[in-house]
Amino acid sequence: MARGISLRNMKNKIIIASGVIILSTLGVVLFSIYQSKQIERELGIARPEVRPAEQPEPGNKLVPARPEDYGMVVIDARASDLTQKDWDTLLSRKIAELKSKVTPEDKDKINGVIKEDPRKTEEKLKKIDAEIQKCEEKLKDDPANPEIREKRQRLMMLKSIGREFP
Amino acid sequence: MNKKGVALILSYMVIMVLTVLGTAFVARSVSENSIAKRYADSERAFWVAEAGLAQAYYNALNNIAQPGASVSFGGGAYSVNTADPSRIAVTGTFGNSSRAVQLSCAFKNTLSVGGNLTLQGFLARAEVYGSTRISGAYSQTGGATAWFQDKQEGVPASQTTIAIPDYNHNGTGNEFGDFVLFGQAAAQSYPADQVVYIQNNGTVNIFPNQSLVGKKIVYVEGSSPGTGNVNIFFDATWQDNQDLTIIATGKITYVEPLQYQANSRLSAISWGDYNEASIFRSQHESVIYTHNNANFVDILEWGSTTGNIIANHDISLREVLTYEKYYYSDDPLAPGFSSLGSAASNLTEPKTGTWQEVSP
Repeated sequence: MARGISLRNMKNKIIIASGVIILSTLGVVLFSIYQSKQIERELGIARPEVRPAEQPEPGNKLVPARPEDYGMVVIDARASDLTQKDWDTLLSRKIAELKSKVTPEDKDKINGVIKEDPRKTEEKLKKIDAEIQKCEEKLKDDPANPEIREKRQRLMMLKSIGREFP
Repeated sequence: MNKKGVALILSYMVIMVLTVLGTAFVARSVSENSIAKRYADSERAFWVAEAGLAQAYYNALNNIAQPGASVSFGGGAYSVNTADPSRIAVTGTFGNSSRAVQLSCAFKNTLSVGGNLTLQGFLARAEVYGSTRISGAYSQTGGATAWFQDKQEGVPASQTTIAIPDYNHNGTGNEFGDFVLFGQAAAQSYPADQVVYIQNNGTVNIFPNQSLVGKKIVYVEGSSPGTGNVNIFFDATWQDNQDLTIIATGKITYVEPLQYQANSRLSAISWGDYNEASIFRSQHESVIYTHNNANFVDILEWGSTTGNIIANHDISLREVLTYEKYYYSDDPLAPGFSSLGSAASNLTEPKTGTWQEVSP
């Protein structure tokens, strides 16, 4: 009877010991796998952050926009050159819009760039008038001269800006 | 069960445990070896890429053609990708690993002149910082004076001009049709909300303002050469940190450039002439490309341009009543310029401060 109990005890001990050994082994194996993965992950983190090369987006469909939606003003190709009055009207409106939108800080920055003695501006406007006059004279002889017409237009724009700014 | 039976079971179990443990350690050892090899290969691939980038950088600075095929180096190999002129990218490979590094490119010169550079006027004065490269010659008349930090005349056109790539695939590049498609390609390379596409044969007057904040490309497309002109007027209600390029199939005239915003740039690309005029002091940061002439005319007060100006034909400063100064900028290429094709790489060079590792 005593021997029977001893063998049963032995059998239980073997089962418990086996369980402990198998679980320990499983634990060691899992821990080993976990550590391998950890090393791999750490190596990945140790590398500098890799940014994907910027690739242009594949062909967006171009949809024509309305220039007015962006505050642009279009002068028709068939229209004749703008007069000084036309430029004055257009640019004074735009400059008024601009003045109403800029903050006092920005106004200071703008003035920091363009502010000057009004007498100096007057002198420049006189020079521009003289240049416009020269253009008019040349255009009497050669009304279609594109270079002179272009120059006259540019001078007119500058004259309008000179009157309105700063 | 007797004692012998118990010993046998125990022995089997010990052997089983030892086998499992042994297998686990062998597997781990193999795995670690593999990780170490991959790590070492990856590091070697990185340094091969770095060596390749150093060579590519040297080539770019010295007008040496980049290698077309991959180059063996240090037991690995590297290849240079110059398809996109806005960057120079090098991929290094070692074993099964590859790494890639790149530098962004900027234009080499302050002024690149395909024709002649002329300065006319009694009171005109120009100062050009950085390098000036002229395929033709420089001349000054009427008492005008100029100072150049580094000027060379008679350089090959490949180092001063950009030909429009053959976008319409008709066998001939540099045509108006190619330019139209270039503009579309440049616009299409950005998300739709960063692009304003205008089809118009007239003259579009643009006042950079809040509505253009965040935009990269404004493309004004006319139907034939000489149409699709643009006037740009001051930039007073624009914002800081903007980078916009205006592309036009006609002429672009920038009237009274008035940029005071921090870190903002307004660039221009035109098939026709680029003109600039101002009555007050002007200052702007711009990269300018014209397929034709760049004219700084009717400048009544001193002005400055920071950037790079590329004119396939002439640059002229006429009737400038005061100083006009040009400063070099080594900022990476402005929007749209990378679509000008690999021809631009003759005028660009990689900049060391822009290094970054990218996905191979």
